[in-house]
Amino acid sequence: MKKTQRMLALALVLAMAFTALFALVACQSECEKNGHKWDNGKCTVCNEVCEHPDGYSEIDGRCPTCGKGIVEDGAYWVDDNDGEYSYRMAPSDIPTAWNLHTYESASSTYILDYTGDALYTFDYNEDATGFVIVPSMASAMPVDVTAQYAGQYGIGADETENKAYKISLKDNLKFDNGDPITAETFVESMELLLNPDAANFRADNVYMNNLKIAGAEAYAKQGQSVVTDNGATGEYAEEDLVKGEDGIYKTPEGYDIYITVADGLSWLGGNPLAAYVNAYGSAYFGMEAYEQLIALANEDGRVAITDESLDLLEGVITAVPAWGESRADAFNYFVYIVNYPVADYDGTVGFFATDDNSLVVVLKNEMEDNFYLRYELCTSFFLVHPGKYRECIDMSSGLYTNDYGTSIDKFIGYGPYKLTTYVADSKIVLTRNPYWHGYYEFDMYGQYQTDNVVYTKVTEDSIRLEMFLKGELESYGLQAADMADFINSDYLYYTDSESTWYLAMNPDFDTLEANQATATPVVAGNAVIKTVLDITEFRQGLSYALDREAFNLELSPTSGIAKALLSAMIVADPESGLTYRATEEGKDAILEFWGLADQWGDGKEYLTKDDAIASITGFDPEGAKALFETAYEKAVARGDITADMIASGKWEVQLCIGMPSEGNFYQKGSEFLQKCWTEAVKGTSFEGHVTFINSQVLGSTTFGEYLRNGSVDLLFGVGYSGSMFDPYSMMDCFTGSLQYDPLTDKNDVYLDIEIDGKVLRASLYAWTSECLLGETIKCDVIGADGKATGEKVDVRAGTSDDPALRVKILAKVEAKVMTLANIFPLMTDSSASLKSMRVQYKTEEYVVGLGFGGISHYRYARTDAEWEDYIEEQGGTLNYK
Amino acid sequence: MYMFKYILKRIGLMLLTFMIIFTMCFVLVKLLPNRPADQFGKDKELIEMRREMLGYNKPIMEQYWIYLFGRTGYEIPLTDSNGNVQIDSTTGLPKTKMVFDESKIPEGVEGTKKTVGGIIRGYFGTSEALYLGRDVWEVFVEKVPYTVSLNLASILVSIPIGLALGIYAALKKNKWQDHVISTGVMIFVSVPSFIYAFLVQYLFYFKLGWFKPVVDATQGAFSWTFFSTAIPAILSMCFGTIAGFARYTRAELTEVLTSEFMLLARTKGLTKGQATLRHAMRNAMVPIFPMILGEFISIMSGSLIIENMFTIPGVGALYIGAIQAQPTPDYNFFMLLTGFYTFIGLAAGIVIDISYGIIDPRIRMGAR
Repeated sequence: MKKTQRMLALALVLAMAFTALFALVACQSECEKNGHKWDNGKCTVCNEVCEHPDGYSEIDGRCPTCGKGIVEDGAYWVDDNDGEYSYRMAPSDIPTAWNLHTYESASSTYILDYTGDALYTFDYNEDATGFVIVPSMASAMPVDVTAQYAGQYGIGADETENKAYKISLKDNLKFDNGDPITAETFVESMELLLNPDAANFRADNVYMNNLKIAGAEAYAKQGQSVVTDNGATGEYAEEDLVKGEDGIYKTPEGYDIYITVADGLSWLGGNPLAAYVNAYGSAYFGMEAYEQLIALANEDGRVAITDESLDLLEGVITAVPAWGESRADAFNYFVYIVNYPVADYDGTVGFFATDDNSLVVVLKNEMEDNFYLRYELCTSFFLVHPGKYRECIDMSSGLYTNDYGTSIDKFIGYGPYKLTTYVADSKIVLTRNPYWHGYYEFDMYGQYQTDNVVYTKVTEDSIRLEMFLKGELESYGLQAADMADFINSDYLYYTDSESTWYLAMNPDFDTLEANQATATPVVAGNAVIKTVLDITEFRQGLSYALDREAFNLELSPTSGIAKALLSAMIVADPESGLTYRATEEGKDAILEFWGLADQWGDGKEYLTKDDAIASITGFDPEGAKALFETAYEKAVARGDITADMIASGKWEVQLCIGMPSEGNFYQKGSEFLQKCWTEAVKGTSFEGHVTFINSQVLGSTTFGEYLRNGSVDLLFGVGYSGSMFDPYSMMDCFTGSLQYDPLTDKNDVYLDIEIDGKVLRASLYAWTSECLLGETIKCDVIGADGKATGEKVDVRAGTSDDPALRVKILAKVEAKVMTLANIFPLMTDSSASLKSMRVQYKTEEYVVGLGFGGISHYRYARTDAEWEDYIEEQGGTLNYK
Repeated sequence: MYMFKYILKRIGLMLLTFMIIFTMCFVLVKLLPNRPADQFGKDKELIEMRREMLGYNKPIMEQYWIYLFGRTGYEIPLTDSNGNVQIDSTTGLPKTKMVFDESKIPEGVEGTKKTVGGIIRGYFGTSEALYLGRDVWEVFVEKVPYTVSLNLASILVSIPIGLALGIYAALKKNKWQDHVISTGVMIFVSVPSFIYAFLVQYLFYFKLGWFKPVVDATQGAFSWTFFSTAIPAILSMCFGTIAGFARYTRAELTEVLTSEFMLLARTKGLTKGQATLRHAMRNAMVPIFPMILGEFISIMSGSLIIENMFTIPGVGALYIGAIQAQPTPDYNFFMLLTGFYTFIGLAAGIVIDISYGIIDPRIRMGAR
């Protein structure tokens, strides 16, 4: 009997061994089919998990070989687990609308990020140190098909204009209600996005920036007459205009163009010429010419451009030298009117389907198949459920309204999660979308362990922290006051942003002079002086006097000292992931601005560029005092500070600090600046003569206008964001319509850059707002004597041009903007957060474009139920210190 | 008859006052800066197109006229790009759109002249900022129950406790019980409710773990889930109201208890309890009852701080949110709330005044 038992046991062991051996061999062959390498009994790609993407559906959704990989309800491929995993967050607001075509609030992405998808997406590279762009809804990378559409959609017969790309779609795309997504669905969505009745807020995503789909703008604006400020676009100079037989000039395209006295102009800080003339009259303008000019104006206050009207305009703006303009500035007073004819979508918009799974996109801006094309196809997304979307349109009141994306019933997504609970201003729950294509894909195995994403609105930081410590949240964004408690926590993570915050000042003498005439002194009886801010050394002194480290410590402990306009997170070459600040050009720009360009190298103060940069604090009180003293001498010499004022001692340099909001940062920040600068001028001639006032609250989106039109003297903690991968376009913020100092004409500021052995000169505006944006500019070649040789060279540095050239121009432009001393780097934008003990991030280091991995890569040590038990075992509160 | 005339007069005055306030608010809110700032990578022309459609470029009084009475235009069928008439899935009827410029009616289509919109037709407009694209009335109606539910619970708890404490303190005037209650009342009246809210949250959620930190509104405003999770919020709201009622009741009752008619009642042979209940309480309620009525009338006005702190999706933050909305104020929300609360406030004044006559027949409204 015992022998029989032993035989049976042996047989069983042998059977198990054979089965295991068979499974390993089977695994190896399956993995090899997928191109994976097999090593020492384990797949090097799949690691411990056996993958059989073709086999899982054969036996109840379970891998026939190893049994792993369950397809729940016959629908999707998920991790083999028995419990639920929920990722819980507590933001201070919950989205109220998340229509992809119209949303304006950042919180809308709480839903859109999980319920949406894109043609392409970011993923980790092989060693998880950087990113790659891979197809998501698309099945392959775009294919250039320009030749097939020559002569259509603006593509020239010789294929030199516009580009066409074919994008193939996966064939299992579905909405979260099971409806199929085909190429036609994309086209319908595009048509709804560009609906001219709607004027959707995000319609410009597909014609305004890098992604310029042919015909999209014309279709969206059909039937409209759009008046455009020529000074803002810089589109037409006087010599570009074409004179008609009637003596009236038009644009080369035939658009009507006018001199305007009634339209607001960016050149005049948003005000019309008439407002300036009414305010200042003959002090700045030729009034006789103005009277004659307005006599020619139509009812809209616009004058057709003729030789006569141009002469009159010249008479208005050049009659008084104090206005400081010439005939060359006349184009800033033009507006042109574009009439968009009624158009059909088909044949107009370069975005169409050729079959169920193939889309063709025609780009107006000849974008090559590079990172920028794929990036735009990742982000500029617009897919909606056309049927549901149309149900939500209401035009019965005479106004187009659309409440798509405002409740569960009025929204259908297509991402990895589906909206299942929505209570406005309270709670959102998203659960797995069983129809999402990713769950059926081999590459996704092991990702998306999270079953539910839960957002609960919590407005108070203290309550959020309490919830986190009780294990009810998976992360907590630390506040300045929390830093001391958690600075040594093992669960603390820092996240840098692409933004940099600045100190921006008004350097314009005229507006400063006008403001000082009406300013009330802080000290009764004092004469108010503001024009000192026009002196470069004074502004530099204010910057050097600012102890940035102390400023950050007091107001934003997670932030670092900003040493340049562009942050360390900005990517210069997205194809390689190289950050701009890591390039030699990026480093040189910093060194040039801080005066350390020749202070590094063997035998010098710093051994390397990095050492020199590391030494920069931006704080030099002694240097600041010297600069203040120089500024004082200049102010006295110019007559800003008169002998009478000095004798009486009754004068003050009054600085009006702009306050974007009532927030603590701006209140305390202003106090800090005042303290710092009061201290800095001690021992100089300005001691006791610098006073400060805070402006009224300027509004969180409109504050910039107040500096642009000179209503406040300076702003701090302001900047631009959102261009991590495209600093080249972002530089336009410093020279285009969004710049903080539009009163410094960047067309009159020249910059020399050495390219291919030649020193080329063009205006700062041309380099930045034209060349880097893909327009060809004509540069003067500069000789050894520093003068133009007469030779001209064409330069273009758009998305399809040489990346090295783009970086070189970018760095030179950045340094030049900084040396104008109107805008100074102040602080980096960083945040710190605590991560829950039960969550594991994909990477410990922040990876550009992917962060720490996101919801797709988060792994959990415990299920929700296990976590609850664990918290209870710990006494209800966890220790993260 | 006097009363009837009085009520008619008050209603007439109320409507006049309402229209003045309503018009002033419309003009003032339209005078606020409303031009969006330039944004990086945004097409200003597109934003201008939408502003034109919204009528923001029209003169303010023309906008007001349209807001009140709507616009007259031509109704035509709403078609998709293939020319198919779209059907409203809820009504099954063809969808329509309005064209206000006759020349823009497509060829072959016959437009029906019609006036649409305007609050006289019950159309309060859609939100352009806070709840983008949603009908403002629908949002308001959706949120009011949460506020009503919270306030109602708070009042129902506050009134009996507040009155009881006030009566007890009055009866124990100048004794230690009165001093304890009065001191408590002073503290609770003086300290703002959000301080209690923090304390309640810290104690009952973080330390004791008895309640959730925020309210669960997923099951609706009158569900057990809502009430059970809203207890900390209700408590936070109650303290101040209880203290208010107690103080007022004590003061009124103390005064009445020392009146001569109370002495008469006692000399007639009534016990202290009988005299207090039948005579003192009734007289003391004359000013207290309108106060209670006022509390009930105001149950639709939300508490910005408490609703925010406990994540109650009520109307508390709507008003200020409508004004502070960026880039432009949410005009339609602002005007709806202005109209609603102005009306409630004015109507409450009439109701409270009339209630005096009902509680105490000696008070005759409108009588000379």
